[in-house]
Amino acid sequence: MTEVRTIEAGAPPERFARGWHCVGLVRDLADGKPHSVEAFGTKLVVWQGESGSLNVLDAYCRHMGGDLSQGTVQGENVACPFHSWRWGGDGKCQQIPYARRVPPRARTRGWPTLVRDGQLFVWNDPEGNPPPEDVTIPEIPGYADGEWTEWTWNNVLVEGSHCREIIDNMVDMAHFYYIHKGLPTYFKNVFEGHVCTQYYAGTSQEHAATGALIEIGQYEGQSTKSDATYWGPSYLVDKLWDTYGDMTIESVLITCHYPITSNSFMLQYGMVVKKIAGLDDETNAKIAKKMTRLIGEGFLEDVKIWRNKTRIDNPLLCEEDGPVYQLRRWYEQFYVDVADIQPEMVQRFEFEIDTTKAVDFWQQELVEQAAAKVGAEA
Amino acid sequence: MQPVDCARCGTRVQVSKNSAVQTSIQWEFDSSSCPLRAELALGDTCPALSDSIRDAVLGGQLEVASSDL
Repeated sequence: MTEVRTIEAGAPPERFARGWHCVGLVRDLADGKPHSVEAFGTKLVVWQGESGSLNVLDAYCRHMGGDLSQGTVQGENVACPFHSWRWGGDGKCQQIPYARRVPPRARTRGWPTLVRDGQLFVWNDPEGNPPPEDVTIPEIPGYADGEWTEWTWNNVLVEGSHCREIIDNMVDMAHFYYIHKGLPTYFKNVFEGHVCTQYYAGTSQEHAATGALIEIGQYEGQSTKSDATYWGPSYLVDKLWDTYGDMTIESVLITCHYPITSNSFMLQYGMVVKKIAGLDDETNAKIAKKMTRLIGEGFLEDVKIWRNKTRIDNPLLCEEDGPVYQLRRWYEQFYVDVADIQPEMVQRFEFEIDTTKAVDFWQQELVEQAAAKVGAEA
Repeated sequence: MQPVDCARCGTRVQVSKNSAVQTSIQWEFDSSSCPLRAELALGDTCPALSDSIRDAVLGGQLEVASSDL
């Protein structure tokens, strides 16, 4: 009897990844009100104190369990709606208005924060260690000087999936054709330390259908180049160059997430576009909005796949697939104690896919589809 | 995977190729042992190492073959 491949679904990890997680934009969180973020299997409260600093604590008050995110901001502190216990950003109870003194051990869990280019990050470490200095989030050059548009930002709640699903996309060359209407012609991954990058070049299917292929990997007219890097387990900075004829639009797409439970996560995506000289801010913002909308449509297609697929620990791969197993080995470093990180999880690994056969097939398919469409309309 | 030593610095990496284009490179040491690494962008394969891999293929020490999938 022929042997049949069996799917090993495995189980999602019980802990949450160590690393910086973006929880949203400062402009949405810094309004003098406490905000609730369900993440890392619990609830967090985020607020801006009167001095301007953003703070993150466990939302559940250590007194009687009230939800601080339903409370109010009082000066630097957040006040619980239940008995008005006042908590500071360092996690210490600063004041109990009706009590003579604050119990000396009145301390809750504070989460280290980082603000970068208008985004708020929270550090998660199951071992409780502070973030190492060399593990940080890079700045976008020129963002502080107003060279880029304001952020567009969207959230998508994904339930019934572990966030590993979105990480898998990093090495998944062919899904860019089948899910994202792209035609990848160049695809390479590099993993090293806590950083993982995908180098991508291609064109749109719409453009490829016109038969603009010069040779494998080279299209006349429209092309996309993308360098996408995960800085840790959850924050992807995708530098994009979209070229239309002699004009290139430069943008940075952020795709990030934070885990809610081991089987759900909040996917966020946002974009800034390098302001095009000669266009006013409003027009530049319109371009960013339009590009974000198109990307958002692509993510919804991803979500549809995730909602219906099974978890699979032993994917069956062909030679045109990227290094899924090595990617997961890299991703594993964030789910083990620092002392248990194995050299192979962090040692440099490079993988370039041969796209020749794929591009050849897809190009032909697109031209045939376009011809069939013209024929049907005639 | 098969070992390839960089002709420039002697760093040993493990390499497999399933076509003329496809290449997998597994570093066994910290890549900072590569004297060119600091000058290169993260995604660049060290040009000296690329040459060594090409020479290994031409010299028959590295086989271009389907990997065990």
